[in-house]
Amino acid sequence: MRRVPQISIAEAARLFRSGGKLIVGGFGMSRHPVPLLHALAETQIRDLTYVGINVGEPGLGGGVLLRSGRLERAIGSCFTGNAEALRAAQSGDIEVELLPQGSLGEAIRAGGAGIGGFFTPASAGTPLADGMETRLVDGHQMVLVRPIRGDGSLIRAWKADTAGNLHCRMPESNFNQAAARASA
Amino acid sequence: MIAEVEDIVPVGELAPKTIHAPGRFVDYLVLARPETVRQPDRQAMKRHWTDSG
Repeated sequence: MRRVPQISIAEAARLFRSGGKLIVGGFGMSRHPVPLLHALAETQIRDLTYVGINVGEPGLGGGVLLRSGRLERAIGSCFTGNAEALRAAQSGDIEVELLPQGSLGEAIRAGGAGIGGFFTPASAGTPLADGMETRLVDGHQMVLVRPIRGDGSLIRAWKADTAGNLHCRMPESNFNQAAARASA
Repeated sequence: MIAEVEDIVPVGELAPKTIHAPGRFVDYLVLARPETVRQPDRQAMKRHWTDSG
């Protein structure tokens, strides 16, 4: 049976490359992979695209990557929990792409499933949909959301077995399943 | 994909119905027990929001 290697947090952080797209699981700060993200901030990595509901909190989790200037772009649905992210977006220090939370989750899931995108009414007719392809489906305006795939995913789960099967609990299971598949 | 987990158990110990992500998608496991995880400082967050209006 396949045995998944167990490595240290520092070794894990060294596996990522600058300019990559990182998908972070968890549900906001709930079950956020804080130790891994902090270890990543201690490397020389830069120009990351960060995909997650938010960019952590100020100086915590993804917020450490933001504060240390490692992020070039962030794709998420709710950045208001980190005022530093708002300031960075408004000043142009990072590029931000906002998606409704359901669209974000489904885009990550679509990425893992090999789906080329999907049409959703969420955000249709709002500034979020500016520049996005739209289509009228059964009389409803729909927005095309493209899939999101990552160069790597970081998730926090409760338990794993030595074959790598993960058991998530509480909000871990919200985005982790999609995030796990989207960079496989 | 790298999974940070609180515990690593032998194969067979997790009930199949409790598996949320199959090991096929996991490249590496990192053990990070709860005591190593710094939790959000709620008082600091409260000050943060108060200061930022």
